This record gives sequence, structure tokens and C-alpha cells, in this order.
Amino acid sequence: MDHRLVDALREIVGRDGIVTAADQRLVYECDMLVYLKGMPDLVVLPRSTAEVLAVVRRCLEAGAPIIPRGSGTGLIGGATAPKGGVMIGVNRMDRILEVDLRNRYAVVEPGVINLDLTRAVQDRGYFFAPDPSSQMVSSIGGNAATNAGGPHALKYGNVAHHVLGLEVVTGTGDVLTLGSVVAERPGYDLTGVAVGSEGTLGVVTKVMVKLTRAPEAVRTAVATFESIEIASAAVSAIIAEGIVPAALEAMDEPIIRAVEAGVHAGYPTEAKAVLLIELDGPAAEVEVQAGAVARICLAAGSLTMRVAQDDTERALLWKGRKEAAGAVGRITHNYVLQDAVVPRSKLPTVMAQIQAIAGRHGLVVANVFHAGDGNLHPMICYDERIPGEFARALEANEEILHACIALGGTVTGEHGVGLDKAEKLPLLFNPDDLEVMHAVRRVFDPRGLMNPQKVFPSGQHACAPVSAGAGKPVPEGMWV
Amino acid sequence: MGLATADISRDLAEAVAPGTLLSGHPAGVRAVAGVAPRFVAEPTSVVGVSRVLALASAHGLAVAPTGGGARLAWGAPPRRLDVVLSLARLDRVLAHEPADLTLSVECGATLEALDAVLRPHRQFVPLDPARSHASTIGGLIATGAAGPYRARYGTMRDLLVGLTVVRADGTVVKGGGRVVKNVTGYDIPKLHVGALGTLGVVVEAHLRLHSRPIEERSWVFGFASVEAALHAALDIRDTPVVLSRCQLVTAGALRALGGPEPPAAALAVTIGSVPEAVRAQGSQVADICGRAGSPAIEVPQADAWWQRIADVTWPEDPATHLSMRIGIRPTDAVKALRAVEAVQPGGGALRATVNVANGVLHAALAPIEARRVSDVVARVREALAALDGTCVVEHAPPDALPGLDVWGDVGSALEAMRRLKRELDPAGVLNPGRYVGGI
Repeated sequence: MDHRLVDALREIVGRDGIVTAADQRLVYECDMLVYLKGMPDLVVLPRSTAEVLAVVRRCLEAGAPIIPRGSGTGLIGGATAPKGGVMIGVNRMDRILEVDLRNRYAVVEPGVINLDLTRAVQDRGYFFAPDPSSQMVSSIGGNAATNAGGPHALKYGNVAHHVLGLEVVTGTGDVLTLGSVVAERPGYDLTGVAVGSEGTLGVVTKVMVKLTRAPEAVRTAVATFESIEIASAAVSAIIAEGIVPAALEAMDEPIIRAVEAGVHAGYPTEAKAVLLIELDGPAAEVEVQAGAVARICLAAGSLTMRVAQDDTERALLWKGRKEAAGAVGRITHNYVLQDAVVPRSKLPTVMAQIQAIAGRHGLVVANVFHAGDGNLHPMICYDERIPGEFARALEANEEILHACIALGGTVTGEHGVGLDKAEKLPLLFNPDDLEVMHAVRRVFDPRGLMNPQKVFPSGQHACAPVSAGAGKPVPEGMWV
Repeated sequence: MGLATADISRDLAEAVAPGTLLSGHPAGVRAVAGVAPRFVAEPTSVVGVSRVLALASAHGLAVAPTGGGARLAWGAPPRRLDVVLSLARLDRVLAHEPADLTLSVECGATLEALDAVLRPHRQFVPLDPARSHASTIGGLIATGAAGPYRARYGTMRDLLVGLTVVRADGTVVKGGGRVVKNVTGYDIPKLHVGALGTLGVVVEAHLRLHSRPIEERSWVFGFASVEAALHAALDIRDTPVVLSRCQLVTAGALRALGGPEPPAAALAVTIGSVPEAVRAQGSQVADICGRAGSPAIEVPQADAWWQRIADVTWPEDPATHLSMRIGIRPTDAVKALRAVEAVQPGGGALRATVNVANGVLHAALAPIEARRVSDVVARVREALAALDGTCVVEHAPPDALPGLDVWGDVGSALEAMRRLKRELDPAGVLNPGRYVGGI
């Protein structure tokens, strides 16, 4: 990298805000999708919008790629630098700037950790609703970049539903305020398109978010089933009844085993499948809906149902769910992860198809997913040390994705596209459809320097998946 | 360019089904904000829409899309207008999947027509804007219009999961998908919500549905002052009670709604849930309002009554009516009301309602002389500036429109919006001049 650029950036962010040594940049070469790597030439850690702006302008002058990064907990190779360039870590921009509970919003810097915002307001009865499983470490800036979901997205929606506005430093070197904490700001909903654009339009420097009033009552239960297909049929029946729980999560036998071996969440180990069902809202409503859900599950063939008796038990059930992906390391050496979505009435069909596909390839698939909104996370297990298994896992992955799309589904429900799924977009969008997205890109990043090679299909990967020697294959503490 | 009207007329007639192209006087009466079109085309298919736009693009014609026409007066008058493109005949339900709570529909379908399809399944599109009966899905996407239900269900932005759009040059493109959770590529559907049809003509929409609560009840509480009504509303909002609607109604609006001598303000709320929870939450709300000395009055057959509240700021005589949609922090609602009252011309009446959950104030002043409008709007905006408030003019006397900035300040993103428009409609075919900053 040109030393003049390095010097100029050091001037902007200070000596303690720049990472140049190769061994220190190593942690920045990938996100939680560890087999897609690309090391940035330089990492800067600005402390303010002004510093981000100066860095972006200097990089634009030098023609250097700019890669924004939050906590690096993404699962798509989004915060990685396949073409090198300058990574902007927003972690030191971690102040909560304003909290206004009467008007139910907060303004935060992008490096604020998701759960820290809820912790700041929960005593007063409020919370930040988006809860990706990584929420104890992932940043709100990163959540906004990927339009992250989470178990409670079923009732409360993905991050896009909770972002009122953004401050963004764009690929044109401008600071723009999009949206507002006040309703009815005239003009195009650029906030709506910037959320989920994965850093390809600019670097988020402020996020205006909705805060949500905590519900009067919460009830969490675990129901067990003879198979994941039967559990899925119960999910479809609950939704068809018009009940939208706060969360409705499914886990199959391999996941239950993995979780119980580590977390001891209290899932019945003899079960072939469990549903984690959470209802929240007015106490009387939760009471009535809990009865209805129990009836529906029983009619669908549930074997047992246990309701968490206190907050400790409830927290443990959730701990099991949120750490399920990381726990899979106990049962497999490696896995390929999928984030496809199907219409929720198609869940039983797709679960049967997934089992059949896995069987054909002689592989085990572990399922832990947001069943209520049809958002699947099949984890296709393989062992990189066995020749040919990785290739078969990728084939199975491809077949599962095609099955989901054939049922009316989509490529990704909450993780995003990144490098990992960029080549899959043509499965859903033709060149005319994609041209509209390119047009949006040109408005904010005409030179294509913002997070290059992400989201858009290019026909080739800049950094090929590495099938072996990639360090620890299943990262500990990975969250889906 | 350069083609004679007769040639264009022939080409347009060939583009759409027989009998669906009007020209001359029958077209002229379909004016958009006082500007008469040369043609009105009513295609019966997406292909028809595409052909009309391809022709318009080739001949440099300006096109104004329309659905039910309820909000055709919104926005600035068009800089140019040749074709009004009506989607009224594109009104089929393409797929209703009750078990998925999703609906795919052509954009000319009205809320009323959809209700007939969805009600038997206890499902609905939870939008209750003014003039609901004439509101089409396409119109609600283009305008982003919402009503009191916004308090619980949000706006079209929260419901639209995918769409098919015909671009200004006739290219048919899709965005989003059909499932309720999807982050594949940019969220193009959101760009079209509230874009007034300036980025493309939305022809098909995929919506997330909601199930209707088993029971819904509405109450109204009278207050001695707007401050007391606002405080009660904010206190309710600070509890876990889930309100479906929460509307502050001023005395002027209450007077227009009829009935005996009204209080200074009223708070109208709806709660929807299972009966036990409606009762329990209803009494919590009644307790809070009761502390301010306001007993609960339950409203029977409330949907029709709520429609009247949504319509109360709608023009009766467009020639003398000014209505504004104002965005503020909910806690600033009274300050914003005072700002509007302060500029109210003598002899006119002010009707106003405030969605206290979202901070949206609808204010109507009538009668008002056209020549006073721009001053009134400027003074309201000046007062709102200190509150970060926004003020969009929904309706103004036609004589007041030339030179009136109906949208107000857009902020630092205006230039990006202009570039977006140029990218997606370089020839300026769609609604030229009607959107923010002259877009």
C-alpha cells in the first residue's frame, strides 16, 4: 500500500487508530464465515463522523477499496477485503448519543453493541427489538448493514423495521442524513434501501432506532416432537391459525444433542425435534394464546410441552438456542450454513426434501431455524479431512437452496449476501432486476469502491473457498 | 418527439386493449392538480402498461400513473403531462395464501375489494387511510398514505415484501420476493413507497397480511385541554398496553364530526386482542384517562366512525381548503398544534387530528384564500423548524399551487434523490415536477 496513503490516514485517526502490522491485521481477514478470506492492507479505527469522512475522501482520492466493519460476526464474508484496501472498523464509535423514551427512539453510533442498547433502557421498560443471536457482541451498525434478523424478527421484524434514519458517509465522499427520528420526512426512503446494503453504499456513522415498550407478559415453552417434519407441521398450523408468536424456533435431534452436551439448556435429549415457542404481549392475551398453541401442538402430534417457570429457566432455554450454532462444533468438524427462506406453509415439505438431499449425499444435516417465518438454517456437516466430503456438502447446499426457491422462497432471510451468496442472486433476479440495484449503487458509490465484490454477482469469486487448513473450521461462539 | 397527436394516439390505442384509451375532452377532465392530460390509458395487463411507457419514453411524453384517484392531487402540479396511466383495470388478486399470511395482488385493487377476499379468513391489510374505499394498493404504495392503524401496524413500508414495477422505458422488473423475511439484494420495494410513482409504475405487489384480532373495541375520552389529552396518551403509551389506534382529535375536528358541544380535545383509541385482553387493557386506559376526569365512552360500529376521523381533514371544497401532514416527536404535538393555530386566518376553521403513537398531525384550514396559502405554510414550517418538524401540503386551492413548495425541506439527501431519479427515469417520463425538489 502506498505509504503516502498510510501516512495520511495515520494523520487522520492517530497512531492508536491504525493497524498496519500483518499479524495484527490477521483478525480482520474474515468474518465468521472463516473460509472466505481477504486481508485488508490497512485497518483504521476512527472515532467520529469527521474522521470517517476524511478517511473515505482520502481513500477515494487514492482509489483504494473501503470495507466497513462492525464486530465481524457476519456469516457471509461481508466484512472481508478480497481486493485489499482500507478496512474501517467502527468499534471505537460506540456512544449512545440520545435516548428518548417518551418518543421511543435512540440515536447511537454504529459501534454500539446491540445488547448494550437494550441494557441501557430495560430498567425503564423498553428494549431494542432486533435480536440476532450474536446480539451480545454484534454492532448496531453491522446489524443495519445486513438488515439482521433474529428469533424475535417473527413478531418484531428485521432491523429495517427499527431503523428510523441513518447518517452515512457515502462512496461519493459526502455525509448524508437519511430519514429522521420524526415521521413523514419527504423524499425517497433511502434509509430503507441503505439498511441491508452491506456497506456497498457507504459507511454508517449514526443510527436512529426505534425503541419498543417491553410487553406485559412473556411465556416461553419447549414442545417435543417425533420428527422435524411433524414439528414443522405444527409451526405451519400455528401461523395458519393467525397466531404470530414473538418467536417460534425449531431444532432437530443433532442440534439438541450438541446443545445439551455443552449448554445444558434443558431440552429433552430423547426428542427428535423441539420447538421453542415464545409468546409475549398483554397478560390476558398471552394466557389465551398459550392455550391455543398447546392445543395446536398436541393436535399436530407433540409429545411433551414444558413451560419455563421463571426467568432463569427461560434464559437458559434461550441460551441453548442462541449458542446452538457454536455448539455444532461438538458434533461435526465442519459445516456449510444456509439461510434460505420458504413460505411457512411449505416447511414440512422442505424439511422432508432436505433430509432426502442429505441422505443422497451421505451427509448429516443439523437444523436450527426461525421456523415461524420460514427462515431455514440447515447446517450441512462434513469433515474436511475426508476427501470429497466438502465438495458433496457444497452440492447438497446447492440442491437445498434450489429446493427452497422452487417452493417460492428466497436466498437469504437475515444473514445477507456478502461474498458468499453474491453468485446466487441470478436465481431470483434477472439482469433487468439487478440493473435497478446497480443504479442505486451508482448513486452512492459510482466508483464501486465501497465494499467491492459484495452483494452483486460478478461471475467469479475473488477469493475461493479454502477447503483445508483454514484454522478452526467451526468458529466457537458462532451465532445464527 | 415530433410525432403528431394523431400518430401518438394511434400507437397508444394499439398498445392497450380496445376501448381503453381516451383522448380529447373525456381525457381532459382527468386533470392532475389542474393540468389536463391529452390521453388517458387504462391498460388491462402488465404488458399494456409496459407498451404505454415504452411509447411514452420513445416519444418524450410525460406520464402520471393513477390508481383510484383518491390522492391524485398530492404533490406539485406536473411540469408536463401527456398521459394519465390508470391502473384501475389491473385489479386482480393473483394469490392469497391464508396459511402464509401473504397476498399477491395487482395494484389497481382497492382496499375495499381486498377486504371482501380477506375477511372470511379473518385477515386484512391493516391500512385505514382517509378515503379507504377508493384507495388502491398501488396508490397506497405511491403515496405511503396510512391512517390511525399505523400506531400498531405501521405503514405500507412494513407490509410490502415484493413488487413488480414497469420502469419508465417499459422494462418490467421485480424487487423483493414473496416471503415475509428476505434480505437478498437491495430492498427495492421500499424505494417505491412514498415515491409518488416517480421511479416506476408499480403493477403488482406482494404483501404481508395480518390476522384480525378476535375482538376490537374503540373508546373516546373528552378532555378539558389538548395538553391533558396528550399527557394521557403519552402516559398510556408508557405502559405495556398495545393500542391499535391512538388519535388525538381537536375541538374543531370534533365539531365537524357532529354531536353536542365538544370538549377541547378528545382521545380516541382502539384495542384489538382476545376479549379478555381487550377488557383488561381497556380498563387500564380508562383508569389513566379517568385520572384526568374523562369518563370512557365506547363507540359502537367503530370502523365507520374511524373512517370519518381519517376523513375529517379531507377537503369538502378543494377551492378553499388547505391541509398539511406534519411530522413531529409525539411529545411536541401540542406545540405543533399551537403553531398551526397561530397562523389560522380569521374566519376559517381548523380541524386537526394527531396520531400520538407516530407523531403525525393532520391539519386542515378552511376556508382559506389562495393568496394566503404560501405565507401560512411558510410560517408553519418556520415554527416547526425548532421542533425538527416536517410539513407536507396534501391539498391546497389549485390557484395557490403554482410556486408553492408542497414538500418542504428534504435535507442533505436531495442531491442523491435527484441522481436516483436520473438513473431510473433519465428522460423524466414519470410525474415530472411533482416530487420533492422538483423531481
